[in-house]
Amino acid sequence: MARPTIEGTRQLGDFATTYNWMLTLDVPAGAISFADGGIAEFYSNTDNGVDEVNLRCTSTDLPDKTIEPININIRGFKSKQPGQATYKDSIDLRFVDTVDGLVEAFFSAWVESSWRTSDGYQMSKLGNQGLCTISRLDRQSFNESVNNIWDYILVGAWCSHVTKPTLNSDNGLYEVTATIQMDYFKNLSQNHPAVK
Amino acid sequence: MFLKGIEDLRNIEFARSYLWDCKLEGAPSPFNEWFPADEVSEPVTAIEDGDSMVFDLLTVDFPSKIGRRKMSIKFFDDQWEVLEDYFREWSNSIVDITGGVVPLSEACRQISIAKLTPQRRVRRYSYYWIYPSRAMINALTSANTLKTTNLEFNVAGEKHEPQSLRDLESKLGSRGSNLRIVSSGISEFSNISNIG
Repeated sequence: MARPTIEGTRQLGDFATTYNWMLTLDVPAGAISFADGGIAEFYSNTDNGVDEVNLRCTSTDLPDKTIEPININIRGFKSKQPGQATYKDSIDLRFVDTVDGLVEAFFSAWVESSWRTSDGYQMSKLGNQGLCTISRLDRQSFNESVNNIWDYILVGAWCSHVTKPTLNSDNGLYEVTATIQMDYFKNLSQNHPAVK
Repeated sequence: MFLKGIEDLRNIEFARSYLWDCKLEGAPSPFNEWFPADEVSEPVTAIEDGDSMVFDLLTVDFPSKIGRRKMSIKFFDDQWEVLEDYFREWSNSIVDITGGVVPLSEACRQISIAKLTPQRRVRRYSYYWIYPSRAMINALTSANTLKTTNLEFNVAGEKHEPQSLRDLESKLGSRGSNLRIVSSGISEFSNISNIG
């Protein structure tokens, strides 16, 4: 194996980037309309707010899976074998909110659907869980043709927490973080269809 | 040397505690195909000590008989508590304060336990004919947890596959008189399995 050369690396083509991505939230409309009728009206006019939320999202974690090792220790001889899989507990989606407070209203309504403040009413599991898809794109996807090179599909997604920023005297934006819980995630890779 | 070193450990795929599945006869939907057990304690052997003999300075315990076999299951329930209703109906069908107690063969239902390999293939089915023992109590709390119920069962019969009952009987029949009693007991259990 020879060491890499500049021509060798040039043959690799486009490298994946961290800034070409998009977020798609498929949330049951009932979950968002649960808390406030005004929010429901807005989101029904904007494709349930999917694009509005995507436009304001500035960064996101990606899901991962860990195989927990089982340690075998017999008289000082130690070995490991794979045990159960644990999916990442949650994903943080970070947003900059606009003055109409859309992001905070959207995710606060979603949180409220899991536990209504006034009386503790909880929507059913199927009623407030949706799909959250984080798509990595190639560099040619600015136009009509969206080229997802990798989709992470969070199954059983629901918002458990909305973190608000500290109000202070800094020259900063109002950044909101939504914590998304999930049951598991699926990989959908354009070039590696066998990866699950 | 018995255990020569770490390579002896690495050659073995050790059994895991979570590779199993179970199904309870007659359980209502959605648990008619799989039973939501969190933990199962399965009886394996239960030889009771008999008389002790003293030979000068040495005391020896002799095996006496096979003791009572019990099983306990810790399980979840769905929001409609269909399993609570199922066990209540089952218990009421066994002991009716106005009608008496049904025969053992009518009290028992079958629970199937499948032991799995890491590749999720069944390596052994165990069938137990059981009926509820002691009290079933709902432990209702204010904790942020699922409702779990512990229930004990008496085991009246059992069968294991792929080891056939006939093989088991022939092995037991070739030994002493006490074992033949056990063998006949197992034959009786097999009759129970034919009911229904």
